[in-house]
Amino acid sequence: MQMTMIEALNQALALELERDGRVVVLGQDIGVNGGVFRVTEQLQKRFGERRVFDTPLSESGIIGSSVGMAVYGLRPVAEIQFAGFLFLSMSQLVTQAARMRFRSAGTFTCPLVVRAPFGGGVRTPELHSDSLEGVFMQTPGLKVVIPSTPYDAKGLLASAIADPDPVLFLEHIKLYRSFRQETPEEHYTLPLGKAQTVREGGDVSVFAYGAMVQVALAAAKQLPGISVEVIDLRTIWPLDEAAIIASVEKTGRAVIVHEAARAGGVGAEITAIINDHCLYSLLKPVERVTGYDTPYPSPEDEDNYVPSPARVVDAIKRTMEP
Amino acid sequence: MKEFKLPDLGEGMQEAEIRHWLIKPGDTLRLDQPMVEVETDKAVVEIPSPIAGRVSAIRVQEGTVAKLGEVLVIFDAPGETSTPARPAASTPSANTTAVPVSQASVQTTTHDIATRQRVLAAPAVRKRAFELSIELANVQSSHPTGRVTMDDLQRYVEHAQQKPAVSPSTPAPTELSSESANGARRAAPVASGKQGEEAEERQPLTGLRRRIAERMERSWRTIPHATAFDEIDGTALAALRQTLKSLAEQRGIRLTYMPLLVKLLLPALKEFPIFNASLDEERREIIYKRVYHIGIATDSPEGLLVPVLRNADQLTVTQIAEQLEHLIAGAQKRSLALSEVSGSTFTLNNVGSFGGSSGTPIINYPETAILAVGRLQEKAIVQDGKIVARTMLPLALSFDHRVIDGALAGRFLARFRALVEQPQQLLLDMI
Amino acid sequence: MSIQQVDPGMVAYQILDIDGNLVGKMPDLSAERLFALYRSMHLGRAFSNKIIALQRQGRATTFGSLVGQEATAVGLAAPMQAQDWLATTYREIASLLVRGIPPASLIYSFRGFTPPFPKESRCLPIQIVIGTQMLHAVGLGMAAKIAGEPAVAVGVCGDGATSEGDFNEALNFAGVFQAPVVLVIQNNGWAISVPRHRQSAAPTLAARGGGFGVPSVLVDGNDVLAVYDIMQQAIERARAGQGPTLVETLTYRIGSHTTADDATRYRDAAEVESWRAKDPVRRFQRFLMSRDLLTAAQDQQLIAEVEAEINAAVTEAEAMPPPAPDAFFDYTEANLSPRLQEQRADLLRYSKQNKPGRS
Repeated sequence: MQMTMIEALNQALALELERDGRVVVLGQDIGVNGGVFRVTEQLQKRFGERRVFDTPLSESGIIGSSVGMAVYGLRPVAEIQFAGFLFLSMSQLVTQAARMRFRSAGTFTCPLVVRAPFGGGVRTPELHSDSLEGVFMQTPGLKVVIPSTPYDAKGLLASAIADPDPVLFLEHIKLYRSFRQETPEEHYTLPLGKAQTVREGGDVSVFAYGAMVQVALAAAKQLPGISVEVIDLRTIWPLDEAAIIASVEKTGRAVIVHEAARAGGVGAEITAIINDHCLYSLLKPVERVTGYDTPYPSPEDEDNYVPSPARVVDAIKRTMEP
Repeated sequence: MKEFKLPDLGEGMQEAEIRHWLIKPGDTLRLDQPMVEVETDKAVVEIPSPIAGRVSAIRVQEGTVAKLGEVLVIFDAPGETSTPARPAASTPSANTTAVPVSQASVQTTTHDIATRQRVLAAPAVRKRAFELSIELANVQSSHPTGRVTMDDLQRYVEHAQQKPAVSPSTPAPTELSSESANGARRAAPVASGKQGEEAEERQPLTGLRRRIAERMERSWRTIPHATAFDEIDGTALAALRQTLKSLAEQRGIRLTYMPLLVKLLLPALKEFPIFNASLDEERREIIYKRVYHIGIATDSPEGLLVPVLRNADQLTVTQIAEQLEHLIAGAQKRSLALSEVSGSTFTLNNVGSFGGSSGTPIINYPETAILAVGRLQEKAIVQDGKIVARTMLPLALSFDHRVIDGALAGRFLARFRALVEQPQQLLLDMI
Repeated sequence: MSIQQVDPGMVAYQILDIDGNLVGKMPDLSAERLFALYRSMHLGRAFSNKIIALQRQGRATTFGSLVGQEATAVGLAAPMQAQDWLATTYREIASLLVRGIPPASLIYSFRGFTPPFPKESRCLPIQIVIGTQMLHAVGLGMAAKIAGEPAVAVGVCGDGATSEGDFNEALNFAGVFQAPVVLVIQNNGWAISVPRHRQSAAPTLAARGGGFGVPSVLVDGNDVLAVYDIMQQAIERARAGQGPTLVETLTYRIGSHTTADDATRYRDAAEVESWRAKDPVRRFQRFLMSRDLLTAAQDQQLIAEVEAEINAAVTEAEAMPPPAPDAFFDYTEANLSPRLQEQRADLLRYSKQNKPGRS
């Protein structure tokens, strides 16, 4: 069935609520209102307020109480209204959820999923578009997943909910409704920690995720003379290092595209991975096409900030120069 | 004006080959700034600048051999200025991303770091050049920054193949093969040298190869070699190693035969000190060494190297195993220090690792003996009139016949044999 | 009581006065049970003193003394049932002992290792990040309610923690969701060197419950019977579906904040002495003796037994082998990525060099 990402996520949640009595869904405005992006539409009606409920305006409260629920034995799927507000729950997410197993030497675990929308190009007010995945890459014990299509979103969310450890599931707002894709209606999972080659090529490896996958593909289309390989990372932490290495060993050129700021981001980590494992395959320096090291700008400025196909095209061309 | 001469880098070296200048005339150096790479007999050594000052002229070019005490480089005295030709400063590469530090900005920092005289090339290009034994400095660059590209390397190879024509029997620099890493899905160049024009090709001995040749010459010329061959029963040794191997693995250590052989060798060396000695030809004196530094002959991409296990008699088997790993890996990467490849008092050569059984080993001058061990192999031997299968270890002991007689060599081997055939006797002397 | 309250006029619930006289209604507890409470208090105190001694000998890491706070620690845990959950700070070791965590395990943890608590004890690992555990307790209560199970969660924090955002968010969630939880503020007067009255302008910390719609009680924290009684009522209220309770116990931290602190720098010796006079252990001892539930000889014997038990636990803990140096990789995640597996191997290689014995 043709689905938008919203519909795919909604279905994934409904299927999980149905097949696993331990799953509960909570957050601000997710009940009657169905979530500000309607991802949890109708779920409270179907499954009741006991399992799908609204919380006070309290990010730390949402995550902290979810930690308790997860330790008890439930499988909470908590929504933070926008990823930028995760900062308010940093302590509970980083020092508590991600460390419960560690602190208790494995006695207690925290199978929690935190969902949050993020991403630019949609004219949001401050902090609503911020990309935080770089920050959470340095949170051992926490996985970070960013789907780029409805099909992937559904399967990855199912895997995230099934994972015995906490997962931060970030959803790019621009992708929520931008296109429909054929998606099975039944339950299926896609593996975490595994990237996907969405376009095969031999000259240059372009690594992207979220909305940037489309940007990378658009750039590739503008370069018919160059054999561009595009890899959708899908899971940001842990990165699929084997896929990255295999691709760069094949092509000798790498371009990484992400909206998030440049410093210490996914691009920096991938560059380091390439350095560690396949430096001698490189023909040119690794290119990173990223947001600038400024706060995410206001709506009128964001088009200049977010990586565009033109910037990616130029980066690819630079790697192709002798 | 101040001259800097090639210093004594140790181990009695008399000369060194200039491998690579890291600075150029006109540069102003800091005290101790890395200045030049030279290669001695054993190792590649980096010489730091002896003063802070401006380089006036370089006297010995790369690839040339300088003698001990020869002037290598001249500095201006403070106050003097010379006007050396300054090559154009290299422009930053065409990489115009927002990456902070370009080459140009490095040059202008207050740290005053002089531009390195290093050839620019991407990692993939360097690797390929290394595999083909091509000096990047010799490759003509087509790029405005002087960077050597894969295409440049390709052209160099093709050109080299066309020059003295290739006769089928002489190995030529191989073409850039279809190996992955370099976008070489594009057609690999075809090696089509002009054939039949000349019957030979000349290749100068350089670097390590040159060193090895010189040392082999000296050893063979000076020392009257005699070799005693033997085959000893290594069944107990093989069994012991098998037992110890899994224990060592639990500690993350890979245990080969070599550490055990070293350990078993030491009692023999202690009982027959002439094998751990050296003949001073000038003074006609035998120098008996009181330390036991065992050289382990090792193959490296550039040729034979002999890293040294220092004070092997004070190391445990596991310590020897760990050190060997380090030394062998270092030999592969040519990253060993001078002290790690010199000073051996006896050398052990494992020819078994490349499938050989025995041969005439050449003594590692100026030692008095060398022991080659071959591959452990099950053989049919006769014991008490019956044919039995035993794991046999072939040996070849070359010795300096000026100071060691055949009978003594025989007794040494017999002692070694006794140790190897009953290795557990080491426990009797263990502290 | 002035150090703990801005409004000293508010009266804390009390059953035994400071001399051990019965001034309130005796809760329904058998002689054995009373004796057990007393023993637990001694065990907690002996444990606390022992760890401090070990720390001074280099055999234990930083530890926060609970001396003077035994009544609260024991009284809050004793009424709990096996199915109930406990989330505490680093100062409620006596509560953990009551819940069945083996003393040797706790001592082992203060040697600097991470010991697994027995899962059945339903005690979360001690929390160092102030106040966060209160939200966990609320979450545990919410989960019990969702699951339809009659378990209750008890969360314990100090007076300092009430200033943290998480404490307030926890109270708020507890109220909104009517979670079956008892949130205990163990007000010992000091947050390291910051006294209670600098932590909040509220007349009592218990009064803050009102702001969140959560019923609150103020208790004499050095009266083990009072604490027990109030906790039992609060726990049963929660279990009966009547929602959360905020309990503030008034007690005093006789020792320094931790072994890394020197309270003489900021506290008045006279104040400390005045609180020694209200010692919870002695108070209960007097009560028990006055009721012929305890003789002097029994008391001596109990103290000796407790001492022996602690010493045996120390011996046991020090004989426990350290975990493998790479064990903490297993605690990081259930499924280690290839990268983490490589890092683990790397650690093992170097760990042999660092501590040859621990391979």
